[in-house]
Amino acid sequence: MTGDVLDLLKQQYCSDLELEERSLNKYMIHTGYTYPDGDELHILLEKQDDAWCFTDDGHTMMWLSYSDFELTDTRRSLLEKTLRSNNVRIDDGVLYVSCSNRDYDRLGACLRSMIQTEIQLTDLQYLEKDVVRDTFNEDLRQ
Amino acid sequence: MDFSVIVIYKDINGRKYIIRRYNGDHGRHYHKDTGLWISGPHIHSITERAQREYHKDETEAAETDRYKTLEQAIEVAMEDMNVVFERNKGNADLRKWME
Repeated sequence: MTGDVLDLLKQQYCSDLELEERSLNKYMIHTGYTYPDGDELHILLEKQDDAWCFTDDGHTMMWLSYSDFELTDTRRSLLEKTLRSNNVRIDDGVLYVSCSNRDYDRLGACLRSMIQTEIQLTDLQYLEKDVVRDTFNEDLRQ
Repeated sequence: MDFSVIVIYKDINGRKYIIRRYNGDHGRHYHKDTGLWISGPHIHSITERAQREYHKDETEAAETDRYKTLEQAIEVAMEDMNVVFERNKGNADLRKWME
């Protein structure tokens, strides 16, 4: 019985994953995970040189910029810790997780790393000025 | 094409509210009430319910075929918000983003 449920879970979980071809060697990955506004996490799989690479094309940082978000030293430090702990690289606001040929057996782990990073980075929205001002005032009143 | 055209209202206390967000084709959007996904360009709108119940005021979104490019999205946003140009009054010209 437990085995049946596990098989069902694996089957349904994996069937939620879809690939949409965007251009040559570039695919959008539909994971079913969303940003807090309901937009799906922006994840692309593309071939760079000879390796496959997951990238968000800068969408996560753009998403954060929707609100009154300023990358101060404290916020930058949190962002860098998130990237480091998930083995994600950032270049000019674009997130990357590269999978070299020898890492192909870790493609799933690389994708999970990108998913986790995007979700954790969007949590930085809770440090936007309005939220910090409100929580600061509440703490002060206690 | 991944872009966002955003209309923001700033109240007298300086708090900003996203009234509308015109997103390009950056992927899908999940409609929390219907449980359905929408694809392609979509327009987010602020709602009182989203302000009360969700993390983002502009969580509500509807699919659109009114634009495909950034330039067209700016035109649609201006049309929806009734933004018109008044020359020589120091108004910002949104068309500078189209050049």
